Amino acid sequence: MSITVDIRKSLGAFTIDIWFECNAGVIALFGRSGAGKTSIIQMLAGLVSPDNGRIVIDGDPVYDSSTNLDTPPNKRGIGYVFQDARLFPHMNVRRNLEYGTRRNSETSERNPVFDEVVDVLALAPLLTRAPQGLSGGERQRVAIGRALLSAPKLLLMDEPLASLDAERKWEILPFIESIHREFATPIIYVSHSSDEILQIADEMVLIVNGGVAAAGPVEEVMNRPNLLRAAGDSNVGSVIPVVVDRCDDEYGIAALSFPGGEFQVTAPALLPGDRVRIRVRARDVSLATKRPQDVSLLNVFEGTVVEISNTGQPQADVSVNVGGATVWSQITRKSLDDLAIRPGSTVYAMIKAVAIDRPAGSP
Amino acid sequence: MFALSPLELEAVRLSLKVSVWAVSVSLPLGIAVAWLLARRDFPGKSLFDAIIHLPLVVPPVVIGYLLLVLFGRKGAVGAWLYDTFGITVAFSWQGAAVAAAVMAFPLMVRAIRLSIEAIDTRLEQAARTLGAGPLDVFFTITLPLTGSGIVVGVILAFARALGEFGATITFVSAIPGETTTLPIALYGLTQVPGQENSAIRLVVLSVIIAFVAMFVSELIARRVRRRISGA
Amino acid sequence: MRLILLTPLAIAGLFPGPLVARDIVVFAAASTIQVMTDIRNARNAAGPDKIRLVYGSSGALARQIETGAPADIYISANEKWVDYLTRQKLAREDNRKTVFSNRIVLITSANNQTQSPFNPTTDFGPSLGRDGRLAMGNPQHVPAGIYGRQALRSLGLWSQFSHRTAQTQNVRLALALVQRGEAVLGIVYHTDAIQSSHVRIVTTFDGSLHAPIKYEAVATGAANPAALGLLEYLGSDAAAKLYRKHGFLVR
Repeated sequence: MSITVDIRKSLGAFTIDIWFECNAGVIALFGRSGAGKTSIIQMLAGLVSPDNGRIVIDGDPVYDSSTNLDTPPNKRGIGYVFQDARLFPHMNVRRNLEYGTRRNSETSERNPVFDEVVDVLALAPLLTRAPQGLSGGERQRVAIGRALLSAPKLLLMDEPLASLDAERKWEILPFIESIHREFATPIIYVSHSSDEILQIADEMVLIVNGGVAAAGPVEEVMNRPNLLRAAGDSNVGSVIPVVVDRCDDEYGIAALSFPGGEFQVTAPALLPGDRVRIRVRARDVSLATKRPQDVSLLNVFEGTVVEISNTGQPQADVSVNVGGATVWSQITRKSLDDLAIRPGSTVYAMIKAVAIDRPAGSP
Repeated sequence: MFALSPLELEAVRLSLKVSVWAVSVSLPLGIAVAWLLARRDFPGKSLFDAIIHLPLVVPPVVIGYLLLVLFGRKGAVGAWLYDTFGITVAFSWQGAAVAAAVMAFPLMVRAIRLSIEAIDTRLEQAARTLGAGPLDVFFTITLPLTGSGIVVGVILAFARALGEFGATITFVSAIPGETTTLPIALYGLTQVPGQENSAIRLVVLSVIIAFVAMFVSELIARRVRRRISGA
Repeated sequence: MRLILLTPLAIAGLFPGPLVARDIVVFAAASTIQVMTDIRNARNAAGPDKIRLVYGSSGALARQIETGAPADIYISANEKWVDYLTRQKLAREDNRKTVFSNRIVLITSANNQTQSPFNPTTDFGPSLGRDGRLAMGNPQHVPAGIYGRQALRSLGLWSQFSHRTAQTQNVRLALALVQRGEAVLGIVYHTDAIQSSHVRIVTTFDGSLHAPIKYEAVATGAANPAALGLLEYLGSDAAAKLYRKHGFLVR
């Protein structure tokens, strides 16, 4: 499903002016708090009107200032999962879930079946409960189920995991992934956590100060540290798709292969053949000009320096080509000069095994 | 001692009839006006608000006289009503109900408006995204959540209607059997020397009715509150 | 903040209470508004004492006196209330006198045509028509209403038409109802009727049909000399001229 967003809105202190076109299953909107992500989603949903522009969803325009078209939110077929769940307090879980089912503007085979949704989101034990008695995670799952059951053409999720603790987050993220798989509903996912995005998104749009700084497949956009830093991500680094080669039970280490070699990662629950993405934080990558000996690092790769982003700050970003994959490293300018590292230099990228993030979901 | 005289029975009957009608007929309008004031902005909104609250700040007799000018048989609206539909509210219990409703209206609107304003509009937004149109949202989300506000508004309005005197007696006078509600009958008794005992009986009666009304409404309010907070 | 609190007090202080120069407080029945205003203006111009007038229904005023209101003179349209006060020792019998009397009349709105000459016994019903009302003071407690009911009883009309009445809490309201045409007929004092150009007197009830409508003035309680002086004046010829001017009857 394709979506074209071309809108402008003046919000007092700053202006939102974005244009992007995406064509994927799960699209992430990433940016700092206050960058305008929520406003953009609200305009997609029709809860707020842009000053001018166009919004086209799957070929159907829902907003067009040139023709004075502004479809009301209840007619757009867009589901919305809010950051704060917003379950109706005077209805139990079942009735909350069913709220959207009777109001489908069109019935089609796309309609998720009630029992299926309850199953996928593990809501069965909660059906007769009141929203007030549920935990944050349970509430979000109900909110997701409720939005799904309204059979939307597009599902918007506004930082749905922001108010949850880490445990809950990693519990629910798989549910969200499975929605896209099971029900084929396109999702636009707003987040300021690149970890979440890594796990579930195919494409992403980087929002900085109300404008689009970058848009494209996740691996591409994520591999641009300067941009990501501007967007408020301190976990900048490389995102590399890998395939699980084998798992060593004795030491609890898995080998993940990629064109430049093998990463050794302490990671549970991986099966040989799994395709995953890993993120290597730039600040966890050190460089050497000679292959190091007798060190505890399991991951050392030989590569060539491609570019150096030296903005005069004490730290500089160096991108290293390791067998076709890019690994970013953040080192001091002093070391840069001391080691005479230049584009084209041969270096050895050293990554502590534990510095590699848990492998994320499938690319 | 506890048996009611025919006059007293009539006063009770009329008071209840007038108050119940006044409140039930004005309730839908009260909800609509409260919602308008709580959720919408429009030119002249403050003026509208002020007019609604007029009966709270203007002497009841003045309101009664205004009603006479508008709805009396020769009044601006009343004459039209009479000529077109043959109905008149002057000198009848319906007129007393109109006077009671007008005086109680601002209290009802205030209570309901406050509770509508307390409703999280984000819930209404959520309902919109689930496919509900504005009217649907009102009936399935806003109204149920306003429940306790409506109960409070009805209690206040009913109590005010029960005690309504000034506007009623100016608009419809005292018509035996039609408009001699408890307050009006009570007033008559206080004007005649030596009728203190009968007056006190009516006072006690009025207080008992008011207590029963409050008690019943409190029960209803509690049930409504439980429904809202506990599905 | 303090300024806001002090200002009303300062303003109140500009208007000294009734105890500075000797004021005579007169509680008067509402139907005597116009004539008592003339009396007050005449007396205030003529002497040092100032008269302050307070109007209300005879009953309400009596009750206020009972609970301590500072009235020096009480003028009532209903002798029952004067009896009430004397019984309670709030006024003395020998400080009581009849000042003037009144008549009650049947009125209709000025542009309404009725039978002329009007014979109450036969023309009353037809004048009311199918759904017309007769506005009158509440016969339970409004003096004009009490007299009105007596008159109608004497004419044999009360049982027939009592349910067609619109009973008001004072006679001015009955007058207003007839003026506006809300009520077809009304019973008010002669003195009220002649003041309004919007109503027409259909017939004057003969004095024999009801108890005499006498207005009594009584000096209350301690009855200081100034009050007694006013009481004297109220029975004088000079006052009588003013009474007649307003349509009251004086012996």
